[in-house]
Amino acid sequence: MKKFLRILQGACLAFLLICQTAALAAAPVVDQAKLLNSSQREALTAKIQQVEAAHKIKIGICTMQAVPGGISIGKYANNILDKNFANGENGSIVLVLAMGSRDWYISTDNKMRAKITDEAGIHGLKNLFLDDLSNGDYSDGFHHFVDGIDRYLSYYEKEGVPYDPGDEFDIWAAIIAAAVAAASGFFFAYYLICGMSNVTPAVEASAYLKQDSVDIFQRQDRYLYTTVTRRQKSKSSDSSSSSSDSSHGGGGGKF
Amino acid sequence: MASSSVAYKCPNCSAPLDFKPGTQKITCEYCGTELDAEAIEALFQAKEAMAAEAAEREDEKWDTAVAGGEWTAEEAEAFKSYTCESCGAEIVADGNTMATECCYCGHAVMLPSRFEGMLKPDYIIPFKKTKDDAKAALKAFYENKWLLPSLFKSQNRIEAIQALYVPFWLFDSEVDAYAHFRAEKIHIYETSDEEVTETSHYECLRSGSMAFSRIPVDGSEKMDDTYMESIEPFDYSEMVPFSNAYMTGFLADKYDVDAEASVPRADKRVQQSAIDVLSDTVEGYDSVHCTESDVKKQAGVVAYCMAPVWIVTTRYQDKPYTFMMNGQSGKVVGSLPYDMKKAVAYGLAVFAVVLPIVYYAAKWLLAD
Repeated sequence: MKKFLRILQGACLAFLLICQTAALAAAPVVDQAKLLNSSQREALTAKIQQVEAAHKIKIGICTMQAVPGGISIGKYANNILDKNFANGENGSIVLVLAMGSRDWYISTDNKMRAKITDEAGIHGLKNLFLDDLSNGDYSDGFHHFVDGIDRYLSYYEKEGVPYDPGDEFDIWAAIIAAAVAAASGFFFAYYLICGMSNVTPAVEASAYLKQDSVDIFQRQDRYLYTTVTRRQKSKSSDSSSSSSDSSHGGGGGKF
Repeated sequence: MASSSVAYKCPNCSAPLDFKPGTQKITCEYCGTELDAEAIEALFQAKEAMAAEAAEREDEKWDTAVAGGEWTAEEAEAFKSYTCESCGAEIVADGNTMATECCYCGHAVMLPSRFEGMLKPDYIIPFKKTKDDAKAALKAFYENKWLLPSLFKSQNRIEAIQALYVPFWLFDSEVDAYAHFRAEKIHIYETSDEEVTETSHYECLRSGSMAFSRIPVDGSEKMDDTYMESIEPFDYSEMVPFSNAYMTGFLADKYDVDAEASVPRADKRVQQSAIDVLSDTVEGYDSVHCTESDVKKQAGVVAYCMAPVWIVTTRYQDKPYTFMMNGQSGKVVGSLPYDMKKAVAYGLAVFAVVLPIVYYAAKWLLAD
């Protein structure tokens, strides 16, 4: 009887694992950390399915409290990709969040890696959602992640090369550059105009000082006080890490 | 009628004499006779005395004419006429002209009556640079001026080029100076999460004495002070005791700003330099600034000197441009016209070069 119960317990456990795996395989959003409510999850799933269909890819978003088994989040994300989101016609991509350690990682297969590169691609993609994750706006962050994938792939399909956000026009950089260039141009022109005249008043007479006549007969230095100013070092919220290998791309860090 | 001016002529052939810059001799260009400056001075001293006497008589006569009414006393004092001993032409010069040249025959002319009541210069710095040197220096001054109007070199013409001895007061002074300085030492270090800046403040007192030698201040009202300060320095090792002979062939002005009136300009420069000297002794700090200072003059001596200046006047598009050259060192000072279109074009060129560089640099910095 005990043996029968053990077999039954094992069968149930196996059934549950199969069901969970089936659920993971079926659902693009696996929110074990309970970051989203049901309506947010449904809206996100719908968006992912739309993007998946548009680009013939597979997208996964998995959240959990901690990465099991003591392996790195990068390797875990690669495993999730291989097990549950493999074989996207044009590639697969998975975002994994570990809430306990506040780690994030994006894993891509080689097809997706060609479209969203490990360096510029992942770097640009993370900038779209990292602030949201840091601020606790997980739903917005995930939507921005999916929107970013859509944008990167649309660009690739149109241009035939991976999207690099560094190529995009940066209005702030342009404003800074215009201001610095205008000031440089003005001062150079002013310098040239000043160079047209060498008529300058003499304000001192150092050329006529008798060097051997200088006699300093009083030198007194008195310490008064000390002021201290402290400035917090800027802390990078993103300590990048990578678990890329020959069949996986991507990158991750902290949020 | 006795002449009121003295033309320096060669005692051998009566040809006009000119002092040659860069030498201590006066050489007659016509007969080749070489004469010492001192000998010429002695030779013509008597003539100058006679000329001064004649000028006095003429002045009285001129004053009678003024009583007739058209000229005010000031105007009459400002412009007076003299008779050239060489050709008899009437020369008109302003009230401060000590030496000039006849505009008709070109003879060097001294106007001794102008020396009366005025101090005799102690020293003179002889001209070393010639008219050709002045022209060449001016041409070199134009070079590498990116904003010079394209037509300036071709259309600009020299209207006048004059060699003028300008009166200068040379101030020697010994001063005691003291000053308080506020100084700072800055120490920056980092902890694991902070950048800490420690600024230690110090009060530094310095006092000392020093001496300045022969600070030049021009004594001519009509010479622009800034131009005269700009052509400094003069090499005083070549300065010699004053002799009229050095002035032959050159224009010369007598001072119309006396030494007393020139003192503030010299004092101002001495004060600034004295503070600078004290400031240089405040060492070992990251920043130093003076909070209080006082400079007291202990002794002061003034000498009167004639310094050589070439004045070149050019005209471009109906506007005169004056350049001055140190007749000893050849240093040229002046203000050139500039082409605003060129200034804008160069400014835009720099804008176009800097813009993309800064854009990509800013983009790279902002992306991180």
